[in-house]
Amino acid sequence: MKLDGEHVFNGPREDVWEMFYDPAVLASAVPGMDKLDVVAENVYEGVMNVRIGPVSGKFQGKLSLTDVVEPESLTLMVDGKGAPGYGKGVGKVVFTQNPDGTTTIKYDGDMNIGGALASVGQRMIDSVAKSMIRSAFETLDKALEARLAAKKTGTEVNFTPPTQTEFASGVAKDMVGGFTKVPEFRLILYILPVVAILVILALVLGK
Amino acid sequence: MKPAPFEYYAPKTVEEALQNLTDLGYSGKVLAGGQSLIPAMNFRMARPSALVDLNTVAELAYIRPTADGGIAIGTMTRDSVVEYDPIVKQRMPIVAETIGYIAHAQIRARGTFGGAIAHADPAAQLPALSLALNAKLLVKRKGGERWVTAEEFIVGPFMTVLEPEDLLVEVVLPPLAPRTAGSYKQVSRQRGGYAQAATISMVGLDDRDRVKDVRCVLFSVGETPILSKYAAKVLVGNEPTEAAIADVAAYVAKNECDPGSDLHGTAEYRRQLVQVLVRRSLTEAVLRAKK
Amino acid sequence: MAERVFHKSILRNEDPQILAGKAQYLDDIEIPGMLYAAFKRSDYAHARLKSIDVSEAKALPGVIGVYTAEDFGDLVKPGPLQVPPPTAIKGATYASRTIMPIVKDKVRYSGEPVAVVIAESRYIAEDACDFIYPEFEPLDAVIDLEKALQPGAPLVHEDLPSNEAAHVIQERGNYPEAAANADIVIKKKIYMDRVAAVALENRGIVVNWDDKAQMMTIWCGTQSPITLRNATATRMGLFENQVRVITPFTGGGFGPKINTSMPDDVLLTELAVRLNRPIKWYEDRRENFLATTSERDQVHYAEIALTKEGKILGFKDVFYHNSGAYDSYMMTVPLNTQTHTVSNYNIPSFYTEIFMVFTNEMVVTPVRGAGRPQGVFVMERMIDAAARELKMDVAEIRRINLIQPDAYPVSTGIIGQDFVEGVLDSGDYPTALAKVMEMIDYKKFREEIQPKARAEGRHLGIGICTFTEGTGVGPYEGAKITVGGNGKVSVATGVATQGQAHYTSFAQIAAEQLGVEVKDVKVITGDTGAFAWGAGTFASRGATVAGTAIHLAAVKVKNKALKLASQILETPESELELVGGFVQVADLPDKKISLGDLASKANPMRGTFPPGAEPGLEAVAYYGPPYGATGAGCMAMILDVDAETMKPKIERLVMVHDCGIPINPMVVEGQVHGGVQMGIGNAFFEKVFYDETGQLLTASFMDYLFPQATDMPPKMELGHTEIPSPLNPLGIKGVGEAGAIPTPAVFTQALEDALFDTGVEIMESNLSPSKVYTYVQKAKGA
Repeated sequence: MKLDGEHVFNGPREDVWEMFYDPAVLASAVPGMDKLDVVAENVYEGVMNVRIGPVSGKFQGKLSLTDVVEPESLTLMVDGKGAPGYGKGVGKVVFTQNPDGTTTIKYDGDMNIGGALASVGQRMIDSVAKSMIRSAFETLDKALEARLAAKKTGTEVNFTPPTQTEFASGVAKDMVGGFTKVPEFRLILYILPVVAILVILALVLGK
Repeated sequence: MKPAPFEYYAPKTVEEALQNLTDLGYSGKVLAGGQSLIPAMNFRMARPSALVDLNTVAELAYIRPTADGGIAIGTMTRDSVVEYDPIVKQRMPIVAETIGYIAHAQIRARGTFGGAIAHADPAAQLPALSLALNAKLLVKRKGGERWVTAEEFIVGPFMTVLEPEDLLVEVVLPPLAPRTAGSYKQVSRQRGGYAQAATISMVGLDDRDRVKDVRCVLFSVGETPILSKYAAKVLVGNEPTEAAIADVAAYVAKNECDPGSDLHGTAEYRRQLVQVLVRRSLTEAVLRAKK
Repeated sequence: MAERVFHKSILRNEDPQILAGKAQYLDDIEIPGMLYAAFKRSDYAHARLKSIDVSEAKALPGVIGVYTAEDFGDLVKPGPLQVPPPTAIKGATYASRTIMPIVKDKVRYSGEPVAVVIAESRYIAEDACDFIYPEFEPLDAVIDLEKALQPGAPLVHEDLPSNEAAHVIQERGNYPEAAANADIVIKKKIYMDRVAAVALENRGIVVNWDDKAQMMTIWCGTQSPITLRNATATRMGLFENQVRVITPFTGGGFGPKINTSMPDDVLLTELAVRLNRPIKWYEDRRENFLATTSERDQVHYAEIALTKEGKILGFKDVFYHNSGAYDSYMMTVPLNTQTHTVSNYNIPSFYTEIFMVFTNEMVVTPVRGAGRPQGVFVMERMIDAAARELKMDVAEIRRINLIQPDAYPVSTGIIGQDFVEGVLDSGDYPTALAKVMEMIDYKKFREEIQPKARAEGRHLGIGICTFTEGTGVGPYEGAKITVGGNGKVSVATGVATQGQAHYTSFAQIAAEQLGVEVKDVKVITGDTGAFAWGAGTFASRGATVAGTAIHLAAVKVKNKALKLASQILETPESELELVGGFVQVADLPDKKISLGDLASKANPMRGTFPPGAEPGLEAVAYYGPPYGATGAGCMAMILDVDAETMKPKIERLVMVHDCGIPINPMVVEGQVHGGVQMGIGNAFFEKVFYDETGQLLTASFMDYLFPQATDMPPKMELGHTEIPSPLNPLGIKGVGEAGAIPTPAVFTQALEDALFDTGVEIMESNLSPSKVYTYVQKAKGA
């Protein structure tokens, strides 16, 4: 499936890029991700426990960054394998510094989903993918905010990875009018791992 | 197509069930009618470590009229029981009409009214119905309970506000104002199949045949059921003319839904369906409300 | 003498048992000590298998063993061809690459097995599959038929120079000359996509090896039990009579169950002997979509040359046929397509060319229709294109081109799936067309009903198409009929039954000759222990070929009975008749002897026995036709299309069919109903979707759609013409696939007619409302 779009981050390009090169930020942006280890330069591996609604699965994921032109563009390759199937994606990410101090990232990629997930999960893949990408960007927005705030005051970055509540509140965007509901109670968060990988893709794009 | 191994709990009361859910946390999954969960488990797409089977909790199946003219439905009431209940038919015929579109009779004999809402499948009828009727949902957990509106309850595709220790126990459908009627319209590839687009329109008229209240809900064309804001904006307080309805239909199709393309239809085709179905359901609801 | 039970709609012998839940299906078979199998299958469509780690799976409690290619040694080699190669066709080239039992180094379709688990339950076997870790190196997949043949395309079989599996050209007359002389030549690209058979019951097998008796028993809902037995025996070095294949009651076949030497039977027969325990395997629905064969995708470049009066001068068709990853079934399907493009009209010149192509998709073998629907679809769409161009009525242009009833036998000039030149044995196509037009009130529809509907803004359309159906092909079938001491009759034949009423129709044939009640004839099909010579149930040949063998055997038994009774009753044979289970003297009904007594008398316990005589009242007969009998017909449909949602409703469906003399008209109607349902599915619901990497996207009924009982029109109006086939004594032709063959063509034509105001032209099948909407938008220029 084709995945393309863009997102505007509220910060300068260098900070966005730096944020993405931090595996801790990447891992935390995707709840369900146990860890993201650096195994080689620009190559990360991790394990994701994905749950969305009743659907669940454990996936081994590998992320590679290639064609890196700091801080303008890169190509992200994603490879996730698990019992329910596999996901393999390639995407080019370009990020542009805007005159008003924001950064626009444009992503353009292809994701191939295979195995049982592809053969019986067609009904879910599209809506869940969109949902995940949207919420991932919102989480990254928050991470960037925390990073910039810390920079300003010279303190430690005070970014708590979103709790399931807050992540889900991102997901709970109202379709019309675009306002975000933040429920008072905690929400359950389930993420499709392959889509999560896509999110990471998007994240890197957002640098 | 056999499920992965799981533990099985069969509580007899709501209290017992809540204890099970609290103990199990994220490992536990509620089993209601099983018409969505069991296939997912058989495909091994869902692998809950433990099932808490509500089919043994008799106290969750009931249909009670409320004093104000509404209906309270226990979440384990079978779809077919709600479909044929005479009070439901009399107070809100849209409920029976909607349920008739859920799959086939055999599935409705097992599927439950609350289970479908808790499952929050974007293509499902009952979550959309709960939104169209402005339902109130009672969520219990060990040591407490709270009411959630239908609008607040579903937050994404297959995602609700329910935490692992929560249990949806009752759905209350508020009474319909006089001169209120609804209409259900869908297009699916097979009779009883998943809708490619669907709408439930509820229209209430005043004594001059102007719209007093309208709730037009689309589903299967977005990540959750969608309550159209434009329909209310344009129609409330005005005459529901053919032109006004056409205007609403066109706008909703263009701006208030987000259908994707899939194996069975393009996004463009589904937007076309939304336009046609919103027009047809609003028109029919108005006609029925006038009677 | 008037027919007594033949040609009558007798209620089925097998129904009471089936409806009361007493019939034994494969999954009902439980043997003490039985183990269960599950296959670990490749997710990738095209990949190298670098390694596979089964250690964790082996350690799971309840797992008896986990086996990969290296555990099977020499067994891992290409299986036998299911069908001989097309050597009879001059100039044909082909490369045979048959199904492998398990992946050794390369995966060629998504779902190809890489390991098999044997465990104490299917649950545990599936659990174990989750713990098997194959290491793949994915390769680019070959999916598009035309791109597959371009230089530089990845190769499905790397030892071949290209992905071309076969190439065949057949022609008659001179097409280029015909085209040059024609008033109009129309060229179109037409395609049909893949559909699955979707039998109610999936494939499965139970294997039991009795080590003491050195006997293997296999239960399998196969369409070719004898081939399964022989292939198994040969492969395992056993005598054929050491292997017994029994087909239990089977929930539908429709083609894919014809295949033998599939991974399941090859590997599980081996493991049953190795482990010395019975093994059961049943695929689930997802596996059925993934790894059971399917059929239909072809891309055609067709040309038709006509005079301005609409007479066809010539026809040309160059097409690409998807064989899938292997071609065990050789060219049966595309040859059927080739034959059925040119079989019911007078076409002086034609040229057809087949490119059969390997792809990284599941293997293609026949599914009800077996290539014929594609041929009919192409020809009927071309004729409709011509009608549109010439502004002719669609029924009229067909009428003037149909082969006339006095033309038979007609040599088609094309060698078909049975490797002989096709001969149309009999038929009356113009009458079928006229009858359909009368039944559907064609004239009234065109002159009154349709114009009125259009004026009201309704989109009502009609489609009408003719077709032929090659049936009853050889090589042969046989039957053994035995009268029991109980006076009842046993009929055993080699074909298998998947629900098409053999237990009744075959009984009717025997009962007619032997004067017994149909319910007193017990039919045994698909048990190699009862009868072991024959080819199998396919190509609508069961009734025609096995039925004829049964008839011949019954006649033999009747003659034996008459001869023996004549001696015992001391009456000439010419005065005797078989009635009610007795041989009696006509006009002297008290002078009689029961068939049971006759059978006993024919098998003396002591004494002497006449030389040359055969004991008992038993006979075996074989029948092989010189070529297949051709059924034919005409179908029409009226559709009401909602032009806003593009959802069509079938208002009327009319079909007139010639299957020769029907043994049981009720059964024939049932066959037609079933075929029509599959045809409607082909036209508007079903499609096996592979994405560009060869991933199967439709492996459940959520995404693979077909018309359910609630989606079918409430009534089908069926008429029959009965033109007896001269090829067999009963005049029978097959009918199993008839309903499926013309339906997509009729449906598409009716759709175009309904949406006439959009000018839309649809040259593909496997449609949907969304697809039609896209076509209409494009036609409108949107």
